[in-house]
Amino acid sequence: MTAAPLASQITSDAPPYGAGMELLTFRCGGRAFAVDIMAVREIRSWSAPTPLPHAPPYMRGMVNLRGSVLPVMDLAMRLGAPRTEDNPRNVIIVIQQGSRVHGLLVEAVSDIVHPVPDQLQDVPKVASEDETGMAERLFVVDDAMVQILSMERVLPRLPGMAEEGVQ
Amino acid sequence: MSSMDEIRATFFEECTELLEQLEGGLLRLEAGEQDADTVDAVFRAVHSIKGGAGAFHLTALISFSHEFETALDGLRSGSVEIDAVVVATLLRASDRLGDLVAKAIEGEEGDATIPDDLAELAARASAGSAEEDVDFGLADLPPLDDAFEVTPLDLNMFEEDGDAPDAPTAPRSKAGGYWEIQFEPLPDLFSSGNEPLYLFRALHVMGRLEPRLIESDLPPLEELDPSQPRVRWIIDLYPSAPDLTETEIESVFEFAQDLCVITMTYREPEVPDPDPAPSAEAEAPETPDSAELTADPEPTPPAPEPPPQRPAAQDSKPAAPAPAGPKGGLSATIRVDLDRIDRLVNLVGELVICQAMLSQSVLKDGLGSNSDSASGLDDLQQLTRDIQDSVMAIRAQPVRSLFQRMTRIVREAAQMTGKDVRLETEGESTEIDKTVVERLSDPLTHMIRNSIDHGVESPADRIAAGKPATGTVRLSARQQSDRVVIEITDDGKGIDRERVRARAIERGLIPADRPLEPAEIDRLLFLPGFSTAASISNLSGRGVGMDVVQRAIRDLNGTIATHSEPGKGCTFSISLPLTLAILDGMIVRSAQQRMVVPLAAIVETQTMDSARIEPISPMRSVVMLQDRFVPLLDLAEGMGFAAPAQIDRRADDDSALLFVKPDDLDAYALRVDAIEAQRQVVIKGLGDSFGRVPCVSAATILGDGQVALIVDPGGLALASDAIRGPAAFEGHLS
Repeated sequence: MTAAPLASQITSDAPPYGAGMELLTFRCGGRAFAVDIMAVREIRSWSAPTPLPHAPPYMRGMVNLRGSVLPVMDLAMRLGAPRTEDNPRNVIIVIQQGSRVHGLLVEAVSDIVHPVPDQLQDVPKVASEDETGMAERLFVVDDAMVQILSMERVLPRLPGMAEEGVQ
Repeated sequence: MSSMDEIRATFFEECTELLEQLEGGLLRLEAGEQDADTVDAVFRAVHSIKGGAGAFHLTALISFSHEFETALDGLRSGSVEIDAVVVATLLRASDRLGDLVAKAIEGEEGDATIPDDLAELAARASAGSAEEDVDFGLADLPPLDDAFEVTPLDLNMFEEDGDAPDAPTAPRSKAGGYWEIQFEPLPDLFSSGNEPLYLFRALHVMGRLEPRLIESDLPPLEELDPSQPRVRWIIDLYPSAPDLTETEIESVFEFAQDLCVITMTYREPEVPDPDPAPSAEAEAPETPDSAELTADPEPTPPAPEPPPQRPAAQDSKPAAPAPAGPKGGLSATIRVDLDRIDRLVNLVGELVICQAMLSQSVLKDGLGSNSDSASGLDDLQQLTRDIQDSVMAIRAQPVRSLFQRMTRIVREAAQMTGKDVRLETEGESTEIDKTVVERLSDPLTHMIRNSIDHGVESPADRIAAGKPATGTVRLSARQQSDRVVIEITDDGKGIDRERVRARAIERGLIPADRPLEPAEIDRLLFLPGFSTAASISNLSGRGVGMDVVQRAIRDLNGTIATHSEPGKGCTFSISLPLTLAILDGMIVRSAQQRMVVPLAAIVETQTMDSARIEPISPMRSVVMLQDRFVPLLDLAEGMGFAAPAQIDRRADDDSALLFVKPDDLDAYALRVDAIEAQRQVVIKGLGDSFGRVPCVSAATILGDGQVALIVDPGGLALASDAIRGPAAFEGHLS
């Protein structure tokens, strides 16, 4: 996965990627990531998810989000890192993508930043593994790098999910 | 044009209801209820569809419903005798009309060819009573250049809104005089958005109208300026109240005062015609009259008012409401967007959860059950339950419409197979959740087709077997505590178990040498791969897989059972929850997880001490249930939360056994760490975010706010290799 298909999606009359964008940055598996704040519905404190049978390991289960059932994904595991330890300080970022609402279990949220276009870089093409394929851009300040995650890629595909779990 | 789309959508929605009314009415006719009300209801349904179709230029629908309407008019006028052949023709026509509506919904023009039998009926009808065409005076226009084709408008003045007053079709008595009103619209009338039709309607409230078009001053087509109104009317108004004053009539034109020219003259009564008996007149066909405004005669309520004082003042009160709605009285209803109701259902679900949480925290905080808070909570609980029931009742629908749809399926399937089949229905007023009703349509269709195709014998075979030549399929619904049981029974030859068994062996579903009990053989029908669905189109309805049916029923938290007697017939009973929102469940704990097992699937519970458990392999045990050993499975293991381990008796804990019996599988035992409670839970679907999750039918939220899974015992059995229960499934699973 590279950023090339994504770049082609950006039509010329659309504002350049990142213009006026706000990012929510957070830590996960010891690394820094960010998501477009427009995709974030809310941030919740940790509560123990109810596990789902025969689900992929990164699906930690479900929590009660004010009366509806919110699936929670261990983002670190989704990105190939070890399982996030149960810790009351963990937070769940509630992501809304279309009609789907998902929770991302992360260690902590850090900041809200307004990147300027100069600070944004394409993901280098060397990265072909699943893990890095989840980033759509890199946000670089000084020598620190934050991966801006593509929620489309992070959230599991719907129809295949259950089957994936069985195997 | 989204607003137009909306109107269109509403029209189609109404069409569905109208088609139901139509079919319902025709079935009543078939059953011998041939009173005027029923005929009127049927006529009205077709008429309204035609009217709406006209508004949307659905030409196929218009032309077909027009012919249909003509035929029905014959029934109304009595020129066509209602007999079985006629009703059968009409039923087929209603099927066709339904098809055309379905086509129109998809935005296609259907095939509007009029079937011969309907055409013949319509011809008989119009021969009997010369048809009264729509008439705004336009019919009398001299023929125009052929470049300009006049589409007759179904202006249908007085029924479009449903609430408009019904046309008083009283005898044409001229006694009492009438007002002759000349009405000439000025250009501004139209440019300011006025509509003469409304004025006409308003006038109509005052009495019977006989409008005539003044055609003499119409210009030739080439001189016609479309922006200039050129039509004028003379309207004869026969007031229903004898003391109608000029001022009252003028008030109708109040808003159009400077936009039209009105002249009014009061005409003394002409020499009164000999009055025909009023009641006979109301029933008899209307005399054809080009100036008659009641072009599409609305059904007149028989004797709507006490007889008027004098025969001369015949007109019944014009304000009598139109006899709208289906037979059986009016009930005030409103149309509500289903989304709104669903939102309400969800909120009530929250309320139930919230109330449960509150009760728990009150207990946790040490407030005794005698405290004011606790008793207040009891009241709240009662109220919550009442609200819940009421909200569920909003979503509840009688199964009538569903059953009605099946009559068509029976007709078609019987025709296709050349069998003679009658459908009997019972318990049509049984109510069930709307979604369930909708989602039952396909499974029921398949099952009925299967019954007719495989169950009911040909007339010759039936007579040979000493049965009546006409086969019967019975569809019944009844409520049994909190479930609804729907049964499909045929009086055919029953399941041919030898054939079923041979077929299953042939398809490799069971080993050839395995002895099977009759019930086990019956269950083979539900195996995926048993039917030939893949090779035969769904449309023909032959051999559609019962596994598909079962899947659909299971998706509704329902179960299905079979009972067959060779030579006598076969019954499929479907048991369904009243609602998809609430489930009676047993809350159990296993591997620190709380889960809900649907109460409907639980046959029995036992404590570990009392259970008779026998190990049959290093990792597996069986347990005795009513003199039979059934497989034993640990719930957490089945769900994949714990590694397989030998289950043994540990008397020191709360472990218990739930014996569950999924509908189509054999019973088995589930070991749980503890049984916590038995209560109603609110079902939260997982579908939106997850798709299907094995072993789980849905989730719920418990009183403490934790999410708990609702176990699907059938799915659990199929996913678990600990359960090799039903022989029939071995081949399938391996």
